[in-house]
Amino acid sequence: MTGVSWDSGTTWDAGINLSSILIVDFGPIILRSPLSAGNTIPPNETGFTVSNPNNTLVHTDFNGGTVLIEVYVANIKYPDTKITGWKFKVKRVEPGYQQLFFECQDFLQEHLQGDYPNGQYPKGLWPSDDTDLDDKLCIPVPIGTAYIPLRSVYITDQRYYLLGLVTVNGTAVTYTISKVRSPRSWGTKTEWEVATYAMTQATKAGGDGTNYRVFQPIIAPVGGPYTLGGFWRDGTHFLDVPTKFTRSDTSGLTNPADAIEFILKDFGIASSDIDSAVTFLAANANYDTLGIEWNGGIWRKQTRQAALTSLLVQCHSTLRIGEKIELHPLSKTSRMTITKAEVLRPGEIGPGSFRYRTINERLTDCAYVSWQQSDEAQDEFLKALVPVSGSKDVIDEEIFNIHLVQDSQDVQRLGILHYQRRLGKIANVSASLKSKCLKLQPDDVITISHADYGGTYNVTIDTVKISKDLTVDIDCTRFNHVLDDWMDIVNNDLAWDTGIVWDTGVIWDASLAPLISVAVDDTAYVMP
Amino acid sequence: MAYEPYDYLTAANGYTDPAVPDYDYTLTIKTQGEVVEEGYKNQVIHLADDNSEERITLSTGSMFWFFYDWKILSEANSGTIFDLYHDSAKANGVGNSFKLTAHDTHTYVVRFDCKLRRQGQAVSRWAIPGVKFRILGRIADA
Repeated sequence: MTGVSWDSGTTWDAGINLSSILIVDFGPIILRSPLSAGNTIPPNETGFTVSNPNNTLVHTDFNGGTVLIEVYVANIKYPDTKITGWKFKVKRVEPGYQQLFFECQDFLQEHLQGDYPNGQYPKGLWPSDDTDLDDKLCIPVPIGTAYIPLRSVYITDQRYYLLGLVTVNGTAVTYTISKVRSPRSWGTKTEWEVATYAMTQATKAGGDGTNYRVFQPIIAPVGGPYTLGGFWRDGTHFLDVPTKFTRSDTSGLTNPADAIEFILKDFGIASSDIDSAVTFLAANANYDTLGIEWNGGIWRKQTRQAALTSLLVQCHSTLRIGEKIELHPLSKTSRMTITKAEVLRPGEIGPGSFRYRTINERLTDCAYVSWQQSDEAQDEFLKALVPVSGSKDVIDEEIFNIHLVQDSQDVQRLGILHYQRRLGKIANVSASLKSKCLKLQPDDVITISHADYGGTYNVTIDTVKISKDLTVDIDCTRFNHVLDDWMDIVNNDLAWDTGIVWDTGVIWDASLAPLISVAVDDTAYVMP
Repeated sequence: MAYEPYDYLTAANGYTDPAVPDYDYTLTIKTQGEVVEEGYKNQVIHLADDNSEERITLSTGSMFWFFYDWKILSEANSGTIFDLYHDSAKANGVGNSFKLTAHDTHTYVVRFDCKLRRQGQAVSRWAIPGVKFRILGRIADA
């Protein structure tokens, strides 16, 4: 179904041919900030009721359908002009008394169900009786240059490290390996680079009949000549090995806009539903200007919602789900000042619709980000404490993992900007506004300005609700601090003492040589 | 100069013109006494805290109703109206539209928009007060 209009001019796709349809009731369109609910992305929603005389229409025919809602406005001087639109998916349709009750949500939601990366765990493709320390480690999606742990699998009579699919989304891909590193739990850090050691790749068919690319780092036995693959064992576990590599279709996706677009398509979203030509293009230019660059990968299964929210925070941006998915870097600049001229009142006499509700919570003013330095394996992370606005007196429990950015100044910026919109909330503000506020979107900053509203201050919009009569209801958050933009934040590089690594405080020396080797089977040796 | 509901039931105002009734029958019983015409547009007024307002017009076309009070009718005429209302193959209450030759001599497509009350002390003379018709369209004048 397309072109649903509660006024006139109904247009329908082929399949359900209707000469007319009458919408008798139309619920508000509710737009929510993708960043307002932690690791979940709340849906945009709407609903409406359709007249169904004699129960002619069958409610099940509409399940999973698509609804396009467009807003046209006109006045005495200007003709009907489309000002906005949204694409929704029919979530459920319920019949009753010769009416059909439609509930709809934005079309992104159905693609946010399930885990990411896609596909099975390595052991699902080549089952073996050895167990794993990290049950969530999966076949990775590398972005730019990744330095992430890969799992080994036992195929027929040898063990290999699993890189990934040979064909991704219909495109043949190749893998370029730079180096491998000894597992962190092993203690000593040793790296084997491709310039000196062979990284022998092969194609193997998995249990699902699909071809995968695997490799063996030819780094055994200790002392050479190097003829065998190197693997590490810890009790009954084979350890995952940090590997620095690229994949041909993702090696160039160092701009966050490109990476997010790729991953949305990997979720199953059609290219035509992504606003590549406008907002993604503009965001791309913005990230280039700011110097935000991603290198890393997604190598542990997580919910798609958590994966996507993490990506958005790591480029300080949000999505808007209209007729297409749009990408918008966040800004502290106020889009509109709300005065008494904008706030509606329900009756002729009495107070208006503005409401201010104080939040009585412990105000934290700083929190940790975790990150890793450039050319270091991205399986374990360093921590830095970042303030929301200068002070670091009350630490929040959240630790946000910025695994795709290696510049320490950018890491601090992203952490500060993220926590500025998460911590220090002091009030919820709501109001019903005139239709000229239709341009407001979730995550926009607006200025509230009148003594009757508590003074002049900025808030961020969490929810926008648009009713049939074009009333715009907003729910907002006020913070205890002023928001910043990227260029407002100036940090020093994080300095690290040499010889001290990770959380354990173990002093390591790269010159230490492996001490022993132990034969495990006829084809591989365990490295010390 | 346009001054009757007939003049506003045009295609330009969102009506099917000429209108087509569900039940092809014309009620011609003349009106009696006072006739009330009521009309409005689907509009909303938003009032702001500074007393300014915003006017939202959801539909430019007008909607009309006629209120008739038949104070005394013959048994035959009251029966005609009674049967028209209650016969499911005819007006079927508020369910089906039909034609009405109205007080202004124009013919409209209407439907009942009320319960039907009939009152009187003798069966041969009935009053049918408070009949409300929703005007759905017009039939072009001959």
